[in-house]
Amino acid sequence: MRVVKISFLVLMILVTSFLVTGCWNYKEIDKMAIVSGVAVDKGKKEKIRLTVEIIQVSGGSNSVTSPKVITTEGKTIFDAARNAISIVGKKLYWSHVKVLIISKELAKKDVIPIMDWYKRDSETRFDVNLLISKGDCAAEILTGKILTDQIMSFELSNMIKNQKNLSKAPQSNMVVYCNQLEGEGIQPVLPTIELKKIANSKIPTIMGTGIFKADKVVGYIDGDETMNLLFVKDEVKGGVLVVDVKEKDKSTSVSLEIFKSKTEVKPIIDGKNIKMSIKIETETAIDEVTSDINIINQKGFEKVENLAEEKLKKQVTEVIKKVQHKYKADVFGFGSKVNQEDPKVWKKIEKDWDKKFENLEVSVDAKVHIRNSAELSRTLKVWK
Amino acid sequence: MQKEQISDKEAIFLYASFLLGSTALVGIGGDAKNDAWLAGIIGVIMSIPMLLIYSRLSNLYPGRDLFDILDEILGKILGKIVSIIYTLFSFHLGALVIHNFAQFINTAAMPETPIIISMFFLGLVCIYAVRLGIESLSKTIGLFFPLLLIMIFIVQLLTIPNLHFENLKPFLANGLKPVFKGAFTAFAFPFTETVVLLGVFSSLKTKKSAYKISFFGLLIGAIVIISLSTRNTLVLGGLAGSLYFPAHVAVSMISVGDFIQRIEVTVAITLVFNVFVKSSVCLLVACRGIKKIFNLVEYRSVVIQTGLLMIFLSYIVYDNIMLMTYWAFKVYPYYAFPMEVIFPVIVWIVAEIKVRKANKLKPVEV
Repeated sequence: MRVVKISFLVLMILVTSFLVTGCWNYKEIDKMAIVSGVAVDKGKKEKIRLTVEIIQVSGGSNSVTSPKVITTEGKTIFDAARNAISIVGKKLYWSHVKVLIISKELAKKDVIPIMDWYKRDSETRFDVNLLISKGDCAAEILTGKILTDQIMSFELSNMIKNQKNLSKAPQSNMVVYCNQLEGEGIQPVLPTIELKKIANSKIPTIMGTGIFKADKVVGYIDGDETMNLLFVKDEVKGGVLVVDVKEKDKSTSVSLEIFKSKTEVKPIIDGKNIKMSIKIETETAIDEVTSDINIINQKGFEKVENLAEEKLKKQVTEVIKKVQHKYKADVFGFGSKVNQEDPKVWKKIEKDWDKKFENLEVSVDAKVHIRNSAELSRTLKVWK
Repeated sequence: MQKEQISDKEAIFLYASFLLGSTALVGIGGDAKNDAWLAGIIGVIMSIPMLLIYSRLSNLYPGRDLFDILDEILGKILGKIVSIIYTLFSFHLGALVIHNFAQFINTAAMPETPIIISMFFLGLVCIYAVRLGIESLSKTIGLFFPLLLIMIFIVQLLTIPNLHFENLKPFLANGLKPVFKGAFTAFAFPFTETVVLLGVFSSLKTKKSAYKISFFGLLIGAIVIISLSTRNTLVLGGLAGSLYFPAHVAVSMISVGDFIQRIEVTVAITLVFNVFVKSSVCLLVACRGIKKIFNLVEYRSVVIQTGLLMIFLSYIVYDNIMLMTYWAFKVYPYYAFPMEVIFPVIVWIVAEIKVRKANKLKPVEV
């Protein structure tokens, strides 16, 4: 009996060890084509042209990761993605995608065909960075010159991440974008990317914003305007504010580094009239003064603060006006603020919000506080 | 044979784990959208009277399970009929829970694996656990559930940077109606499903503890469920409503310093354990029901058969995932209403009358 029992146990252990060694469709890492970045263009023959950057991992003690860029076409994104098998010979693996670049042409038509599959499939992830290519071809970006990383998509992802010290492009991922797309009283924005020719090589740069109306891009604003847009959306985490100071006959530029910024957008609802009041509060420090005018004192600080406030107010108002009249898309989410404040009023005006937004009265108030002047207690003095 | 016993602590964890079940994954109060937290709270408050009734029943008849109570109160024939209904309810519930789990695995993790495989392996573990009995099951829970709670807590802390509190606004945008609808769903699934637990609470150690267990079990379970649901809304906003498994995506957004990221697997771990507990309890209660109906000596003799049938039922119960969510949120609350509310209330009223009568007949002790 004992022998039978033991031999049965051994058999069981053997059988289970064969059965539970791994997942149903287990894949070795060097048998996969890991996608790191995607660019979607309009196809030449078919509807969609998909360009993916894949990372090839070769095993061994000195493993090398080398990116390759391949292009396929298909009727839909998924179709194109599966067509890649006939080129690469492996099924693409989508869980490590860092960036998704959409071409200008497609963004102008509509982006839903691109977003849907990406949202729906179980291998793709929601934390992917979305970008709009301002150039003619989105695929070109993936083949641009890489400066600091081995893999283009990773470099782009770093660029986006470090935008928090620059604030010249909005941050966006699938969740943010879809909530802006589906949300009431708000229109989506996406950062733009463009190849810039620097010293004979084309280098991708992320700067500026694509403004959406529903699912179509209606226009673009540049990096400086984007910063003002981000001030309204309360998404500024860092960046530089340059103020021109004039004293007597001399003029100087002062660079303020932004440390903290908070914006309060409040709708003032008075019957049928709606006004928006925007209050920006920014903590900064003087990090650069370009001449020998002495402003590092209480009076100088106040002067710079006032000038900065004025400038910020002017710029932000300008951007709001521009978006209101040129693009007519509520990318600031003023409508959603009204909805959050008073859903009943929102229900009534929801239908003709587009018109209301165009003529919406917005008052901007800015407060800039200068914390310190970094490590220098005075400006450079020239001996004479 | 020594009688099986559950300590109070284990029973509380069993209760909470049963509540979490598959609810922790699919979330509650879908109708209420961003007021889901309110729907959850109202659902809990609505279910408290029912939980008091369940506890009262188990206190009136200590050491007896649901089917003994039914037999005692409703008589031989009617008791048997209601027993059959409860057995089927519990059997069906177990199958639904297994299906829920397998559907998640099939959608999110292993789309190419046949769905029956994940059902089968979970079912086998349940059969094994039920054959070992309620005592080993609750000891397992006593060991693992605190760890799960710690894990959930840590994951909740890690999501803090991703929370967007403006997602809770506007408050009550569509009025109270959807909130109550969501609350009613939450009331039926999962809060009053605990009627099934009456089938195992015959093994409680102390007589007075049913109230305590219901209270603390509900407290832990409700806090976890509501906080998870609220987190999903805060992280995903309006998107949470369009996802079958919002918890999975909400956790996938976590990225702390590029180092702690891709920890969705914690959701799966929590799910696997709670689903295991819930379907095991359902299987156990179904087996006990069968034992009572057919006057068997031991429920263990029918565990394997019932378990295999349960796995098969879970395989055929829904055709696809849309039917699953439709059933769980639209049909289930009405389907479960008699078992969760009507029968217990009738049984409770009859029981109270019977006890009063018995007390009157008793000679007064001086």
